[in-house]
Amino acid sequence: MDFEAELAKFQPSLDIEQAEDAIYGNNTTDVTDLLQSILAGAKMESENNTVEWVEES
Amino acid sequence: MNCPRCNAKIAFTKTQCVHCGQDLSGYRKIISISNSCYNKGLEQAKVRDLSGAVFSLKKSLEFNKRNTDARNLLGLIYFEEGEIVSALSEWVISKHFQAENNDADRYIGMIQSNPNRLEMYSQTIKKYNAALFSAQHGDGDMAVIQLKKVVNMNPKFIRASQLLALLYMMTDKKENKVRAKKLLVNAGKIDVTNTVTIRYLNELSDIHLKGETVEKAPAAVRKEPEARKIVPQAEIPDAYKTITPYKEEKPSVLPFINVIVGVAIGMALMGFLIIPHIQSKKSNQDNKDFKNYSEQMAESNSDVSMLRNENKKLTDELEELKKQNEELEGKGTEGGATFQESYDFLAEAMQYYLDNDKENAAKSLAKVNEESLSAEKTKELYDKIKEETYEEASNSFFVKGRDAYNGEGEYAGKKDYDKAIKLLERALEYGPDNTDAMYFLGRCYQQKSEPEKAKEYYNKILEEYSDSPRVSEAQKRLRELGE
Repeated sequence: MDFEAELAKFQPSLDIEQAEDAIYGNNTTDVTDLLQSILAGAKMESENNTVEWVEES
Repeated sequence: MNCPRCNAKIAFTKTQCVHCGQDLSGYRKIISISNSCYNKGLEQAKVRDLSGAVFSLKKSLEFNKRNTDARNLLGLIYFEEGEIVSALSEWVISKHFQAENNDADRYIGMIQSNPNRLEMYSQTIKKYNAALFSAQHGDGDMAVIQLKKVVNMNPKFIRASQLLALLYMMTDKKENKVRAKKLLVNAGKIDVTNTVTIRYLNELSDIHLKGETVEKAPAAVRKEPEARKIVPQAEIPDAYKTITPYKEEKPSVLPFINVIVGVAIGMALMGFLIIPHIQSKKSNQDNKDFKNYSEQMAESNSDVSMLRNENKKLTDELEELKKQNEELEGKGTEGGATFQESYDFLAEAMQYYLDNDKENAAKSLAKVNEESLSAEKTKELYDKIKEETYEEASNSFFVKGRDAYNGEGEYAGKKDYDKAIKLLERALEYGPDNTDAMYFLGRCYQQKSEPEKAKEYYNKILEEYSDSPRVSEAQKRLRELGE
């Protein structure tokens, strides 16, 4: 076992004072958000692509 | 279920939001997947597969960040592993998404209500970070001291236990490896599938703790959370499963009964099968030993008898050899000189013979025991000396005897018939055919007035030596004696 490599894998633990930063830094984006944005994007696209009716001359 | 757009509460069975008209078909599927992951995480947490549970719950939250049960359970697991800040973070976020009727309120309150405990958690984290810094900068001893305190203050802080175990393992001392293994075993009881713990334990597979084989079942989760809400059904098969409440398992007496029954069956087997077999085996062995012993005894007796016979034979041989030795060295044959003495006399006689002293040579030769001369050459020598000396010795004794009879020579003027008889008998000894000696012996006895003895010698001359020149004289003397 490479002890130095193992030691390097250990990361410091967050202090309680740093809890606020941890909470704000938490990425809370989930699949529902992605779905929502996809659906919103699709709707906007469909609205932009609506072609007005033009009478033939 | 809340509508992702307007956050209004709607029934899970609805495919469209009744408030904003949002299409909910895809959203329902995502919620179902999230709930399935939560269910899986809950099952894993129940069997203390905390690492697996964390993974499942994070997955659940990736699908639905508003899954409060999943987030609260994730916080509880972090708390169980000693990761206080992570636990608080999850609960705070949970509270953010669901402000009302949330178990996270109780969990946060439980920690905040006891400032001493909060301070203790804070201290353990600080000490852990300091110890990690020391360890990574080569001050392992200081790190060990700090981590010992950390583990003592919060024995469930898995990362601290693992780091301390690693530092112990780095020392290569057996007692430290034992300590490391104890720490890792305890850490393994908190999280049974922690890969770091398992990997370190594998490194210490050659270290054995006392009573290691008796592994206790992992303790149940300390805190019993509130019963989870039942997740609504959806199209995904796993989603139809009812979420089981997250509660501590009650201890069962069944395993103990099984153990007692097992012991009883084992003892019965010992009594009825194994012990009789052992006794039979022992009896057979004893019989075999006795037989071997008897055979050895018989063999020993035979050997003793054989040795006795041999001893008797050797004793006889020894006696025979002693006898032969005595004959050679001292006692000799009956009535004669010994072997040694005979040879000595023969040598003496030979010396006299060489010195031309035939009388003494004959005297010495007369002492030799002829029977003791075994060698042919010696016998020949003996006969030769005898032949050349006895006659002369006989004549010499005869002359001396005659001088003693006549009173001549060295006996001049003193006739001595007794001396003459002795000398003449010696003459006959060396020369049995010496008729002169016989005649004068007769004369001596005649002079001594012993006519019978005198007649004996005269008659011997007449009868055995009729051609001797002394015959006429012997006849004359016999006539004188009245024959």
